[in-house]
Amino acid sequence: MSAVEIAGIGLHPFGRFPGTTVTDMGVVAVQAALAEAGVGRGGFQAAFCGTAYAGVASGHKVLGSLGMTGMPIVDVEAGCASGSAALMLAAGAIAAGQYDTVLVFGIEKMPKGIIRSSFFETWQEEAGLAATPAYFALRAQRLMQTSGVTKDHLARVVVKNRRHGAQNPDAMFRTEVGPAEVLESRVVCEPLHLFMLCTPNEGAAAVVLRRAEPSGAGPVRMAAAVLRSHLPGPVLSESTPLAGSTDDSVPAASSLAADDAFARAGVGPGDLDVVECQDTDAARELLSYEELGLCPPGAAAELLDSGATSLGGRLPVNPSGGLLSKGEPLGASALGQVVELVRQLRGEAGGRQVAGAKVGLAHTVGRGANAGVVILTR
Amino acid sequence: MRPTCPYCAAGGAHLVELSPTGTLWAWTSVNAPPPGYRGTTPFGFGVVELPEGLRVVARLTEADPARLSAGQPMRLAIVPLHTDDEGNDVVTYAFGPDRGDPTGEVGGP
Repeated sequence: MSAVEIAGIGLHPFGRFPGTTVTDMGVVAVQAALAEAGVGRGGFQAAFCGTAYAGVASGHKVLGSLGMTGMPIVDVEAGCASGSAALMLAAGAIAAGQYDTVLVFGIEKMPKGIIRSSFFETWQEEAGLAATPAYFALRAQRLMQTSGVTKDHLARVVVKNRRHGAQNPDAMFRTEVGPAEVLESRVVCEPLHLFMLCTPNEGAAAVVLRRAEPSGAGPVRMAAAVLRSHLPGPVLSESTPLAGSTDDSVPAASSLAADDAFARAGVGPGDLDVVECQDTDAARELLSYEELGLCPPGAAAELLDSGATSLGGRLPVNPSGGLLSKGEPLGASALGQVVELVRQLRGEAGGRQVAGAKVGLAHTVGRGANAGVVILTR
Repeated sequence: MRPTCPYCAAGGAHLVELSPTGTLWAWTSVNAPPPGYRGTTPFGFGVVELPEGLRVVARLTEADPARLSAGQPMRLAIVPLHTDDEGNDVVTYAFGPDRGDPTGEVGGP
């Protein structure tokens, strides 16, 4: 099996861009990544495009407008983990010797408000059961009932990530907020207030993956790119079932993905220097601490309280500002995390730099359920 | 053909009728209309645990989270949603606080 390195990264900022098409945004990200990698037309043998809402052959539209078609172009949908799925396919193909260089990108242009998803049946929508934030709220409530997490902790996740995001010129929200401001924002679904939920938005991100030379040092390497789906059982998993079992011992999809990725990369949670994780809502970040093994079960509040996950702490989580600052363009989300980690591992992250970062983990989880974990090393 | 069990993948599963009563496991309220919904807001939303060992996601008849508590007895009810374009009343299932009335009368506004 060959090692895989990241030869170039590119990003279109995340936000709202009236008049800019999803194809335009994809072009910006792809051109930047190809330029950095020094790759032009004919320089990559396959392309994988993560997107959930851009529509038929949307990857082809991006590469078509650049005159760079002919190779296999595969659009990949895996909900919020679409980009992780694209990365898994690309890295796997290189490792297996199928290709030398592969372009991976993610694009999305989401409307404002609660995401309308074909995942729900019409009768479920009519009955009000397509209320996605309500599922997040139920999960937040269970986390609060079964651990030391309080509403104050939820507010402080937002304060932390918005403080980080203020240092990220590519984020949608670049102003800091205080805990009172978070708790005074309107209640969407108790206990979740508006500022505790990420906003679906627009953006694109791209990376060029290349077979790595065996000799050690050099570009950032992709040590693992894993996608897993949920196991049957939990009623509040991102698979959004309408019923579930009472067996609370079933591991989450994110735990399956993390365990698999750590094994493949030959590192453990204790080796990580920086993490970008899925903070769809503030409680989701705390749950991710536990599911990724960053802390023992039930200790997420303690980890947050210790300051470890803030910039300057032992293991900064979401130095980019996370989805709470960047917003979430589904297909671009995972690629955006990887772009952030590459900048961190190269020491190019400016005011949000994690000093000396060598090992980073990116985590996405969403509808399906799909969970993706990517580990980068330098 | 008998359905496959979605939990253990065994074939030959058979349908059983579940209890109309259970206990409240998680709850919140929905304050703005979600996609495709034409009924009123706010409405209650939660998970009820049934004695057969299942947790069911459902609307709740009580929309104020402060008036609900963990483990409280709940009972199934049929509730109105909206009147469709042809004048038909559209209804759905929901759970409400159990008042011990076997005809299905539940609490809530």
